[in-house]
Amino acid sequence: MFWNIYWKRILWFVRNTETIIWTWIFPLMLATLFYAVFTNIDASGQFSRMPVGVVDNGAYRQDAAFRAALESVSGEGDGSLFDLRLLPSQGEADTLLEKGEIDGYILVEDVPVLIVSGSGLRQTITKSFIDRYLQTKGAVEAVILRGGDFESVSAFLEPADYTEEISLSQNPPTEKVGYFYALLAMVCLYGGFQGMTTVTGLQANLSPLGARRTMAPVGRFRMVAYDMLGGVTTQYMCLLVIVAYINFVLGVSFGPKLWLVLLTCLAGSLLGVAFGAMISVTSKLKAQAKIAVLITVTMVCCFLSGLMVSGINYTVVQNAPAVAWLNPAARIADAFYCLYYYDTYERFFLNIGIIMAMTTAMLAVTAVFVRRQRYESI
Amino acid sequence: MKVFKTCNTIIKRRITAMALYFLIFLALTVIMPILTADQHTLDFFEMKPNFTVINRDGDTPLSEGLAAYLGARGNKVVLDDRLETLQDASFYRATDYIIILPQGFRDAFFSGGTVKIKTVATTDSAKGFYVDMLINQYLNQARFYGSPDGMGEEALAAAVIRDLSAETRVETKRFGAGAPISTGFLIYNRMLSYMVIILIILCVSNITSAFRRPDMRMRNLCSPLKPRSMSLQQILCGVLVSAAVWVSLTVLGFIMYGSELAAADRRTVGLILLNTLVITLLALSVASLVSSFIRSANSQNAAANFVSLGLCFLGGVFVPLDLFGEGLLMASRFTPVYWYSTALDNIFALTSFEWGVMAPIWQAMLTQLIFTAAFFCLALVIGKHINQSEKSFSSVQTELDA
Repeated sequence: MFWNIYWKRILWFVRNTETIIWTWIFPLMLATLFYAVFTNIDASGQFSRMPVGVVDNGAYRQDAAFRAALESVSGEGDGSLFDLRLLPSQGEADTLLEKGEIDGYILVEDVPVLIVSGSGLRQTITKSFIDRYLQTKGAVEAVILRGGDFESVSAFLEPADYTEEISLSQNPPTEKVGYFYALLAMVCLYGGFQGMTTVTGLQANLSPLGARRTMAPVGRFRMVAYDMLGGVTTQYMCLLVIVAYINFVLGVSFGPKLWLVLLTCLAGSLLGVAFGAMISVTSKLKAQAKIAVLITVTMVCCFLSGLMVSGINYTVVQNAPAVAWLNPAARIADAFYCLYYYDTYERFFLNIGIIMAMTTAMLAVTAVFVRRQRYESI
Repeated sequence: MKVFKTCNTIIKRRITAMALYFLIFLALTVIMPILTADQHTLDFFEMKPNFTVINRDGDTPLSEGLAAYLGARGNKVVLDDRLETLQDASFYRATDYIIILPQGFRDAFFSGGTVKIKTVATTDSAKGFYVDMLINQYLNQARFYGSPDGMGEEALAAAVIRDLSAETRVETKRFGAGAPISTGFLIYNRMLSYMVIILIILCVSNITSAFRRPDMRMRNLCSPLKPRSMSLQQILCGVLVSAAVWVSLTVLGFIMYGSELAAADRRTVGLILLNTLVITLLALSVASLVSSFIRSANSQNAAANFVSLGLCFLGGVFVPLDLFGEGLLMASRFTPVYWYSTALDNIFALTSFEWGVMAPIWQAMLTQLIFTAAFFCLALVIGKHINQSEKSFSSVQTELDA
């Protein structure tokens, strides 16, 4: 009996194009799109040489110290800040600024003035450089006025580097992986289609198959369990294919422990199937309405787990921790994140524990509703 | 106008589902700009990176002075000194830069030792570079005073901050006729294209799929109404639905960003509206084409999601085109939404209304219209082919069959 129900459940999935589209093809398409557009997302905040102009007027030519300071941080070498362009007139500088070819330009009058057309980090860094020049110049002049020696002045001219960059994890932080983990959480919750199918196929008032099965000489609990196991198996297969595609084809890292990734997929599949079964069994809506509820709840959970806006899951944790801990999609995505970024496994197993607790609670609710159902008329 | 009236009846019957879709996508369109837009002001302002100071050296005037100096140029994010907390904040960009003052730093600094401040930032990030600059500037200035024995450490820290208060004068040049438009409105308009495409596909396919039911088609084909008239009335309904979507979203945009648009040049706002109108026409043509292939309610949902997400991801709606690689950028040129995003970016960067500056905008809008015409033609050809096919009379499912 087990193999009969179990195998037919798997066959149903293979023959059901719509479920394959939603749980298989749609995530694969989204993963490919994510890969295509998020590949360079980490480069968005990276530092690169800034095109900055300087008006080559008499005051600039006479200010040898400023000229030397600017030239020392311009050019092609390491530590270079600016792609410096000497401009013959302010009119020329304005033209380049208007076209967006330079981030700003420096006009030396009594002191250097920065002229920009907007605000941004590049303009802020340029301003900070000129600030630094003015501050250093002021300090050196103060030292000389006080009759300071060469050693005091050299402290400004040869600045020391007091910082040393360290990493908090063996894997680098990247915005890209968060989208993929939230996508996998979405696929897990799409396992709800499997749970919904199980319930629909067992309830006499929802489908002809359910009516026939209700009369079958098999215990209800065994029928639900076998059918649901078939649903979990197909869901798990979907997840394995998608994880393999994301990991091996798209090259997105899941950290060193691949077997723990598989464990997370299994826990996520169980949760998804239980989630769909619970939604299906507790409401008396039509099948289409139940699907709409399932998709809506899934999308809200996935939105809060970072599927559409990177880092929103962190914001939710900071501002509404209860919502974050009760969000199944956030727990699944967080489990993947822990495997990637943490060197320890406490929070990972805490996530898995919560996922399993949610699954148990959802299955218990489903059992309460499915148990001893009788139909006066269908 | 019997067909048109029937279309209205279909819309009324499915108004709940359409309203649900509208509200879900509306929420996304409203939330996304709020979460991702930058500060909007006409004057120059310094960008303030988020930074965190983890002080393992105890509170000293030197470290407090450093925190105060950075606090004036950035936003201080307070975090616990726990590895997990710091990892989360760093990974999710809650803080751009973590400064860990190691034990004994103060003593080593004043004695000329080599204990360095540990920093955590995204590799090669511009914000990290900026905060690095600020820290070194503060400490190099403090180094100038040497030992605090003479003046006291608090006075030293105060003197350093005073020394570092000299600032450059910054002038902001405005080249356009009006004030610049906020990035929030730019992101809203980007998201608008996604919403317009998915909503119009869902609405139009809902209407047309009812007419493509085999029994309905056979009945209509033997009615005295000409097929052309039936098609035109369906198109008219599609146009009105599209217009309703466009007007709703445009009005919502003005409600949300009206105050910021008040000072903007009217011509720029007009161009933005024109561009959104063009993408609405394009969405209608895409919907006509996609509707030809829709067989059931589920395939309608799948098609709407696949087409809208595919077009919008490749068209630079969710991620700016600047971040695309060369190959992807080349591929995205063959999608219509790319031209919508390009036109939008150019409109927001407008500094004058001369022909040379406006040409790329007109070109991008014209390309969208060419795509629109091509999709309409393709939809007509496919529609004609399907009408002549015997199979079409038994391949459409609606809720009545389910």
